[in-house]
Amino acid sequence: MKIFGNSCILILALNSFGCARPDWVPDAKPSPRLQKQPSESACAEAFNSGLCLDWSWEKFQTEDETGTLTLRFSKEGQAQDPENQVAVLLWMPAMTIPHGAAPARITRLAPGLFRAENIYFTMPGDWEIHFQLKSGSRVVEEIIEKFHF
Amino acid sequence: MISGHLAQGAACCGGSLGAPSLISGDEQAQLSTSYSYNRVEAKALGNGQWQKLPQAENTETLKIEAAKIVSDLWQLGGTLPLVRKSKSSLSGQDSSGLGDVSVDVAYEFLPDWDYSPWRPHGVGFLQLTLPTGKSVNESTDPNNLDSRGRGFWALGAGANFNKVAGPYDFQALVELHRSLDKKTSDTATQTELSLKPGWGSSALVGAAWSSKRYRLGSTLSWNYEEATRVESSAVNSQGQLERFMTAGFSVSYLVDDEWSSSLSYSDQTLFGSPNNTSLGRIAQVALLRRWSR
Repeated sequence: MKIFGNSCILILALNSFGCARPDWVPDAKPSPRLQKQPSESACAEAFNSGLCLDWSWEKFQTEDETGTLTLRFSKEGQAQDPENQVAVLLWMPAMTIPHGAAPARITRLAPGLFRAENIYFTMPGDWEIHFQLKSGSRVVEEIIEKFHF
Repeated sequence: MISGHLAQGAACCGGSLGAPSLISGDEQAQLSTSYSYNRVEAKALGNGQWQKLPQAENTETLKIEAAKIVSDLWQLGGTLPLVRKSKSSLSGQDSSGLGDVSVDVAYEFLPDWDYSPWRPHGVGFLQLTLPTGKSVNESTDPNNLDSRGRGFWALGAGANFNKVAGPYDFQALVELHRSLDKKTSDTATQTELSLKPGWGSSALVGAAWSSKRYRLGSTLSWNYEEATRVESSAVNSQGQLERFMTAGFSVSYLVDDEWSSSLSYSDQTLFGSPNNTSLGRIAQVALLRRWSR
């Protein structure tokens, strides 16, 4: 009987003095990558086809509003529309069930200039932004930006 | 003995498999209803670091559980959860509906007819979980608030042991489950995803002390879920495993031979090295009706 009593007290005591040792992420501010400004280089990031992409935040998400990205496509220094459909996918690859966020709305503003709205990271963690050029549902080519939100 | 009714931790995006509804005493049938409130303020990342959420997420669950003896050693049970999720961001949205329903069949492989002083009472079970709650990939809400389940058919098997010794009682439960592959239309990628989940398991130990009509209990549970592989024409991911521990405390009150009630508190921030999961604190109230054999 004594061993039962002692076991009971042990489990109650263990639960009363938790032993998790959290290693907190020091700062919840957006990483420098999220504060990215338009690049001054001629071709900041290039697709396999040679098309250049320069992207920047027009507005970062807040508690009550979604964010907006500006995308600039060019080739050899000249603004140029991609041949395929532009898409932006927010994706969390390292989840138990990897998943994305709500689809971005893409609007063409001018030759080579696009706006991606409805950008909203649903939770903190490691995200990817996939800048995709698609033909129907097939991704022809993409640039993936990794960062921590 | 009054069965402990502790809330199972609901991790991110539907959480792990729920505990089966089992009769572990001398009852012919039992029916319980519980309400739980889960507040998530932090998340354990894949690298083990913890990060506070910009806005807390709340999940309320109204759960009805039933179990009935169908022969001397066999019993059937089921669980019906209704889930409401809310978050203060994006105009304070919320969403409610059915979570993942489960049914189970159990066999009492270690009956306690002779009231052995040392041998525990053991019940083995098979549990089938139905994908009645929308999965995170099918979610159309910007905060995934309408994701109330894992979205997979899952089959689990396990055993529950309990032993009463004077004013003390003890419980141990082990369970292993496998979710089935599925294809689903994904909101984010707007393509069809092929989801290939892996194995999952959980274990629980608990002890309690009873005095007259009151019972003070404590449990510690461990949950593990392998990553789900995702393939589609738009994106491919290997996923990452999830694990967490939940500490639980409960106070139960035996109203009479038929009715009992309990208050419990569960916490996922106290123990272990949680990985890739939401860390919640859960309060629960439960009412249990039993019919003796």
